[in-house]
Amino acid sequence: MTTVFQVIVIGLLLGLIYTLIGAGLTIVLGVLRIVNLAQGILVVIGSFFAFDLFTQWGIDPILAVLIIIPVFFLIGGLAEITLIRRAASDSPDRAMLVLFGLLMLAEAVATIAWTTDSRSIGVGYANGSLTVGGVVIPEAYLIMAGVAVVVLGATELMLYRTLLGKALRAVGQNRQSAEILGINSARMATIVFGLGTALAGVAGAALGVLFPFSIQLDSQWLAYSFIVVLIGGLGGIRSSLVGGLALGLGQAICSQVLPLDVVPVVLYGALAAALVARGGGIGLARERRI
Amino acid sequence: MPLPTASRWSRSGLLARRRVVERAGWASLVVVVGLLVAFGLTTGQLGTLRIATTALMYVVLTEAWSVLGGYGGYLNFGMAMFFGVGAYTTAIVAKEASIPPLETVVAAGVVAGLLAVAVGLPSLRLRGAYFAIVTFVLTLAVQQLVMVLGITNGSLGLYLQPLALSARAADQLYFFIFLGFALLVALGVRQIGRSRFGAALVAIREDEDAAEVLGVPTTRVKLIAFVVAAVLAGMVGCLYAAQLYYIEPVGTFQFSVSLNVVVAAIVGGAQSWVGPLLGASATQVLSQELLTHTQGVDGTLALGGLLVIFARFVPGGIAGFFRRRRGTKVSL
Repeated sequence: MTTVFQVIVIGLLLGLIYTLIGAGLTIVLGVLRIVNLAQGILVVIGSFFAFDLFTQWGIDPILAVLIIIPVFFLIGGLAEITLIRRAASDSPDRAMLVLFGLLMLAEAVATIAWTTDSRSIGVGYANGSLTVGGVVIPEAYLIMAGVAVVVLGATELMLYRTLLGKALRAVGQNRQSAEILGINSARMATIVFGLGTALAGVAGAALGVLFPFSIQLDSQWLAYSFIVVLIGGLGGIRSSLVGGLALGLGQAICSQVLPLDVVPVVLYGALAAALVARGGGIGLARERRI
Repeated sequence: MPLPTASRWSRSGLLARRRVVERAGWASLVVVVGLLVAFGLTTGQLGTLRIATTALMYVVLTEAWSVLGGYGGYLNFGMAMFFGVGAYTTAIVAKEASIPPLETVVAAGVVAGLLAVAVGLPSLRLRGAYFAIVTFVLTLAVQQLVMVLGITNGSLGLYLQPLALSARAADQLYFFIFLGFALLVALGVRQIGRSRFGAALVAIREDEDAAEVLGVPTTRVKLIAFVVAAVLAGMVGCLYAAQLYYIEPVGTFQFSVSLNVVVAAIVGGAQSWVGPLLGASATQVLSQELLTHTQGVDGTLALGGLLVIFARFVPGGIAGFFRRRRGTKVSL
């Protein structure tokens, strides 16, 4: 019984962090219809950022998040203004291709800057744990899930409790009507892109504390963010939460009952099976935009 | 689809001009093929020959990709999956049946095609970007599966029987195989572009709902185009495995195969059969040269840069750029 609780707790904590990866993709896809293929590499760069801040200046990843958010927001916003906007006005697929190119560029630059070596962030709480009624909760998971909750909560509040959030959602629902109502949709696009990039950066910092990382992880994180979107749909932070928690729990359960190297097969395979079973079920999710 | 716009030339003048350009194009294709044949027969530089062979391999893959991706406008990020499945089919069949790897080319194509049917039936009901996502995730799934299956020998990979030829003769043989294959596929894609099937794909690209209403069986058309790409990619995978005579999951299913194909198609322009010829040769020669001379990530850097530039500034690729110069308009 303790094992069951153990698996559930780990799965949920991990799921909150996976929600972060998926939320960035969901927001950009939901509002702008653009698939951000660079999501995975942004997560990895977030990890490296947190690593450098920790090793060079001794900044704890919890505080590093406060630096990562504005920096990544700027990177995403600038990319949108200079490269993605014009392509997106042609078609969302063309913007996806530009992002694909940026993914390759970022991968090459990151390889030059950080090499392909595997690293881990050795924070003080990395190996500590709490025991509650027999269930062992690693401190790092707890702290990083807490960071995820705060960031996700702030994003949710921004989207649903502020005028800016209302404007962003309006652009997602109907861009032309939003423009008629006086919303500067180009600026909203920049903000959405910056927001998605910042969420990826935070996810990177959190994952960097939990697992060793290297640049090659980018396609795994991209796949995970796709899974979150495919399960949860495009309903904003709340639907990302559904997808993220499902992925976290699924992974934790699989890791418990299956040999370790089979876990990715089952995860990707279950995704494929879900697609076949629902037969275009994502098409339904697509209608429920932010 | 190119739409004639108000042009400086009269209609008959435009047509005459187009005929001249077309003849010049055919003439240059014949000259290039002639030069390649002469080069393949006489060259002593095996490194250059291998670069040319790889470029021709990507010509086949990109032409195959362009049927659905260029005419149909559906971005398929799963070429690596079919390529890898073809390579593994060859390795396994050649070993189990004790036949030379090259004789398994049909089997490789068939298995990749069957996988495409299984994957395409559910996923081609998805529109646009979602289709791209599914093909990407499935590539990872198949790669992971190959890692753990017994028959594929996991991450250790499989060895194949090399041909009983000298290194030079073998390299020349594969060069000519890929040259012939590339020509056949390019001309086949040209024919598709002029057929009803090609017109149906273009209709899907322009407006899928309208195409459906007008009686185009959209799902079937897309599925056929997807399977064509998969079968050809499987056959290329077979040739690749036979040439390399050692395959392992990470190298064979590397996402960079899908990636190189997409870059080649966008740089060359995927809306006509000429684009993939230009794009695949240009990008592959460039990245292979960079790879051999600098031993670094410069190839990725160059390809990524090219992709950003072409996707952002040159919507029709190299081929589309010339077409626009001739007074017609291209979209997407």
